[in-house]
Amino acid sequence: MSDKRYLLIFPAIILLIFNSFFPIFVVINYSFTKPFSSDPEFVGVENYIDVLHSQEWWDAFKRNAIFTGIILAIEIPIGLLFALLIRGKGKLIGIVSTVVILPSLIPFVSVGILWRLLTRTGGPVPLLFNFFGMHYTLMTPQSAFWTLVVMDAWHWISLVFLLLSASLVTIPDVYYTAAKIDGSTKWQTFRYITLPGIKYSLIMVLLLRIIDSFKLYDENFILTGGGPGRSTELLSFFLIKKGIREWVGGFSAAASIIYLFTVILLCYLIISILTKGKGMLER
Amino acid sequence: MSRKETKKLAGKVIKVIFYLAVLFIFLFPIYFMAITAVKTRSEIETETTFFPHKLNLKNFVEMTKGPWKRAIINSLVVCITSVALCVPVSFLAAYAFSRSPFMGDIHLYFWLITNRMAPAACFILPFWAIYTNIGLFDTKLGLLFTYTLFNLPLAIWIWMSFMEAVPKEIDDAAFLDGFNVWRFFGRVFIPVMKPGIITVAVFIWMFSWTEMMFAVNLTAVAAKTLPAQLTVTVMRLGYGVDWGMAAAGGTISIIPGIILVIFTKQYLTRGFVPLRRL
Amino acid sequence: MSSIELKNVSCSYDGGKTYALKNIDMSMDKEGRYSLLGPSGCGKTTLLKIIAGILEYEGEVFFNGENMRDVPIEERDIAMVFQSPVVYPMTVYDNLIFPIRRKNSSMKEKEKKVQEIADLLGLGSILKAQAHKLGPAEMQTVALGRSLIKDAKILLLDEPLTSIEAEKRLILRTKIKRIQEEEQKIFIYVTHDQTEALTLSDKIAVMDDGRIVQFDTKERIYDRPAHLFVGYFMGSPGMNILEGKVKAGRMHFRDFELPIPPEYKEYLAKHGEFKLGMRPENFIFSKTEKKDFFLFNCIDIQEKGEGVRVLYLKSKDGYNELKAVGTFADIKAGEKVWVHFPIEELRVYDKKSEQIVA
Ligand SMILES: Nc1ncnc2c1ncn2[C@@H]1O[C@H](COP(=O)(O)OP(=O)(O)O)[C@@H](O)[C@H]1O
Ligand SMILES: [Mg+2]
Repeated sequence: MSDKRYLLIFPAIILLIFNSFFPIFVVINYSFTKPFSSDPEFVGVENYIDVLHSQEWWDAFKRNAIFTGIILAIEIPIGLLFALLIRGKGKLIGIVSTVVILPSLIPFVSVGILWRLLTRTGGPVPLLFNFFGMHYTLMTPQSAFWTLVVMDAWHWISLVFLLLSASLVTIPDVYYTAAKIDGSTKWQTFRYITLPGIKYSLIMVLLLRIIDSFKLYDENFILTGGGPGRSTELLSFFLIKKGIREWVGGFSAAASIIYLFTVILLCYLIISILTKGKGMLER
Repeated sequence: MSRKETKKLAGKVIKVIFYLAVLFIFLFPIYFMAITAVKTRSEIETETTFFPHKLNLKNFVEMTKGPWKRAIINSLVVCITSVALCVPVSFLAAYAFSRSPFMGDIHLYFWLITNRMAPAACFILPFWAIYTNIGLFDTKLGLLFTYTLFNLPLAIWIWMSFMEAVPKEIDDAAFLDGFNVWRFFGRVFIPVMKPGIITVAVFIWMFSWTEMMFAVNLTAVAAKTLPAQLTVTVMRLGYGVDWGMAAAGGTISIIPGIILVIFTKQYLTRGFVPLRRL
Repeated sequence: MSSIELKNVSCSYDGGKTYALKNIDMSMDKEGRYSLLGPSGCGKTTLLKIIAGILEYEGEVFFNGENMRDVPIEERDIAMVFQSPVVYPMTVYDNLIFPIRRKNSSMKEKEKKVQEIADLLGLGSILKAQAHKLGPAEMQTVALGRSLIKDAKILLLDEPLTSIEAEKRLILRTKIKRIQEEEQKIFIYVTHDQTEALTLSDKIAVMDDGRIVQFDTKERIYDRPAHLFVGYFMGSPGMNILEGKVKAGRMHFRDFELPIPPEYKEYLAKHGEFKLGMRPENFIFSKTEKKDFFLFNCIDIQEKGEGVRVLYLKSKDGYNELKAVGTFADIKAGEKVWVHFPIEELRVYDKKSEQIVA
């Protein structure tokens, strides 16, 4: 009987097939046709060529890659730092860690609204800038982009913190004791005990943040609407704009497929580099 | 000796300052939204105040009526059914992965991850096309199915980390004692998995409660969730946005998160390492 | 000369509601092999952690007469091996050199030291291997090597063999023994296994429920347990315990009686009830009735291996049970035997406190 336990996977498989294979086929089908037109004929790889020649697409792609790089560089170190500093017993620590986790349970839209309120003309953020003799507005491409970055960090440091905190408590105390007895420096303790101990959670959080930053749409939509100009138009925003608002389904579908395989490749690369590398990270 | 003590004290003070700064950074925006919700419209539009001049509960009263009330109920229904569907399904799948040797194949596992990777944006069109054809457009059932796609992979990863902490010998012993799988789950396995259940449920809730892209694009009126309703409010161009109303909706949308995090934090941070199998 | 002294040390994990250690006084006044022996949960690890400086405690701890309260762990001259093997994710060589890498001595000397330790522990062939990918026994050997490298004067070993596969336990035990012969240190070996304690130490502190019940040489611990718990815990089977009463200047056990040994005369003149302890190895048997031999029935016999057997005996009317250890080639289960209690092997304990009568 116990060797039939693999059957238990089927409910999940069925749901996932209904939800993922089906739509994927539709998207692939779209990507080779001109859908939503009077005669959706087969057009071969024309859509793909269009995408690869589209300056808009490359701009959005590049913008998104830069955005992802920046938020990873901000959120992962800060989230890790928070996880290292906000741990242990005590009332204050309990309250602080609860509050730091909270943003990940707030809807994207609400985060967007919250930051719109903060950054409105005459709102707290412009007031703060004025206080230091500077000027702030959402209306320049630069500041819009960086506001998006700060908002994303505010929202998602919580997830990094949560996953890494949960992982840190799995490292047995004896490792830290042994390191102390051996006169290990703080950096060495981090390098040889903490880091290997949280390795898998770190990979996980890295993957999730990459994946989700490429999927970022809601906050983007609410806070800047892709503007000013197209300065904050990230990939998902671009795809939806093309597909639904500008109604060019074939183009959008082809772009989606390219995008999907890029992200999959990226994640696969990250996983294989981090797990099959020199083995120094493993315990 | 006394220098050591001063150093210790200084360290403590710095830590407390750090904690307070963190509290401020994360709580102030929420506070500002909450007070905006109880300001009058003219106060919001004319100046920035950190304490409302006059308490105005009109916006919150509005939340208990019409489209807002329906949106809140829809959101709750979608979230609760998501949890109720995904927790058991992902539990079974993760169990199969973690206990059945040839199911633990890395490629199948990777396929699961790619489901989470799938850009929601690239699914909008086909979902929209399929759902309008089979009558799932603008239904809560439709949203539930869609969310499953993104909830299951993450839920399975998290389950795995909890399950692999439990030795397989426990299963074998139970089966030798004549338990079947279901009795084993009920009597032995699920009781030791309590932190896992809570953690998985919270992550599912997290996604389902906060999602907006599908909620906006796959619903029209009847199945609009709170995030979708909020989006409509904020995006009403021309009239000028009613920020007080948006802030009230936003504040309401934070409440379940607050409750959840307070009651489940002890389980969430008890210790789990997703992806250990890679 | 090194020494460790604990004065009235107590320790609580829950802010004083319950104590894991209760008023420990203990003095290890020179280099040598010591062990802490006791059942799981009795506070052995806690005591070791206090010596290492990991835990807060009440009372005082002195190393070489110096109060260690404010001396941080890294400045104490200690090394430690833990129950679960702790190695860093790097090569065995890097693990071994880790504790001395910043010491002021030439690289040559450090390498020589590593080589010495590797030779001593038989790690020479795996120096380049990744330590964290080895089996538990090898990992523990590396951890042991790392604890030796910096020549700490105190070496703490917390059940180092418990998480090792049974087949390799003996090998590692032999290695530890060899180290003990070569190095002049205070070795404190924590274990719940009496065989380990007997082979790897000269003085044993037997612990129970947060207290040290007896701290003495292993010979005296075995021969003259200060407390019935020690007598029962040490030895397999443990000490025989009989309840007795004093009547007309003799010790009565309902269906037989013994003379009072001279050293207990004074005590038993004042106390009517007592407990008698006797090691199972010390009985003398006869197949026929003799003077000062008492009739017992042999109920059961178990083989212990190598010809040694355990006899389960019941006294004439069944009031007393005994276990005896020996070869006893001619005794069979179900037979009658006559048993003699050599007077110099009898130990008398207070009935209530179960302490030996001094
Ligand atoms: N970190 C801890 N928190 C609370 N209680 C503990 C902790 N460590 C040990 N104890 C308790 O202290 C007692 C002694 O534990 P320990 O010193 O580990 O025993 P031993 O090493 O002899 O098995 C036990 O009752 C145990 O439950
Ligand atoms: Mg212990």
